[in-house]
Amino acid sequence: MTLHMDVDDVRSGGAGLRGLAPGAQNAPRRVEGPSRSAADRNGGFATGEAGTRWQAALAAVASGVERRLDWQGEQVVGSADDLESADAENGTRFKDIQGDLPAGPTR
Amino acid sequence: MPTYQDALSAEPSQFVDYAAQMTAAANDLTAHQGEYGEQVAQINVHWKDTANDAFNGDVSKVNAHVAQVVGEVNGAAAGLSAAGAQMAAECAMLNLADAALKAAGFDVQPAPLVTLGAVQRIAIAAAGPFGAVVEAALQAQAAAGTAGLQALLSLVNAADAAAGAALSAAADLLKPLDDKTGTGDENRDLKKAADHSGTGTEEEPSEEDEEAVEEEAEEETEEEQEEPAEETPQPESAQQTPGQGEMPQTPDMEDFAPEVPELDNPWETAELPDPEEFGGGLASGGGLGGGAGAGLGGAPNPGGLATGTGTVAPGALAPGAAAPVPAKASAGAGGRSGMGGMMGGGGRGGGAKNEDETARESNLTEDPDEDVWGIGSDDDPYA
Repeated sequence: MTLHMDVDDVRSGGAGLRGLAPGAQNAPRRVEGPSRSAADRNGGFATGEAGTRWQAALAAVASGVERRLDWQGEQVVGSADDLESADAENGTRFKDIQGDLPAGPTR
Repeated sequence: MPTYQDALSAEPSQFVDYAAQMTAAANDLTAHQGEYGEQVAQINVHWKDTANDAFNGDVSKVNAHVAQVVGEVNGAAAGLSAAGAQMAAECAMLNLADAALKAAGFDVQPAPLVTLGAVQRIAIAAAGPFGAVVEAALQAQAAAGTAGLQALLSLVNAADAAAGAALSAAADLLKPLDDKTGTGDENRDLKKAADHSGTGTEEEPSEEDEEAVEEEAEEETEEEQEEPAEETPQPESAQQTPGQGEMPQTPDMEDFAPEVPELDNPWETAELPDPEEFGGGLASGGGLGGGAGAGLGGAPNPGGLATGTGTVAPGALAPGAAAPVPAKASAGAGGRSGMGGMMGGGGRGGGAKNEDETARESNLTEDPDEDVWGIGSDDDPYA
């Protein structure tokens, strides 16, 4: 299997995902005012209350998407950090092994 | 359920506006999804491995979820828009009827109930002997007006109830994604798999295991100390104590050392031991981690066979990752072995320690005096 990662690009991509996450709130924010206005100006109408509920449900969905995107970005950044640290760790290990090899003439 | 006064003062067009904003919100979600897709594509250009596959699997779930939400939002918007328009029309008709009745001199009570107004009562009084006829005609008009208003109000109520129920159902359909609060188990697994040193990231043994391992180590150390150095020639690195061991692969070498009988002279074991000494059976250590090696004991031994098995920590499953700790535990499961122990000891060949050829030879059962192999006394290094 091909394994490949441009660590810096992936890390910045993960950060980009995290930055993108709050954009999910644009949708519920857009309907927040109209839902409240429709409920206030149509007192007694079940539709007004339902509209408020619907907006809250959409906000919850958007929050879920926002959290998931933020989590994905965090995982992507973590994967990049992990691979980088694993690479550094392996390098250190090989250096240690190299240093432990007895020096001197070979038989 | 709105009352008559609620219906008169309502602005159902607000619902239509709300529905329009819902549609715009769906477009916002779609636009956000597009940006998300671009970001993911940019990440994928620079990343290919199983973790990336898992990431894209999760991305697909998010995309499917958002697409479903967009569809539900658009559906709710369409329903609310139609219901809002209907209610707006019905409320407008209600207002027109109310205004027409009031213009005709009727009073409209909140029930709604249309009654005769003051001007009409004056007209009835002015009609003289025809007053009763005029009153009856006006009362009939009032009753018809009441019926008309109630019918219109019921239509508004029905439309509101239907729209409210539909919007509530649409709200119930909007389920947020499950939160993922983990910190990345796959990353921890990756670290475990990447750690080939066998130290640091493996699971800590329990206290009982630690005690057992310590006891084994003490016994084996004592045995090794009793052995003359010349009888167990080993590589220099293997003769180092754990504290002196500098090679990363051999910090725990003594824990895995084969259990060599306490012998001053390896040929002394040429005679078969008393079977009762090995009542517990002969055993050998396991192979690498999960390997199970069976030591073949002598036939008279009542215990027969015993096996040592090792378990491998999940993190040690990566290729090339030896499992020294499980192997150590399995090595200790064997009793003091004679020939069988040595045979079983071969199961650890893949471990971090070399074969002890001298110890293997020391357990041959042939009588050395017979020179069965045709080795002259001059060539016998043990002579």
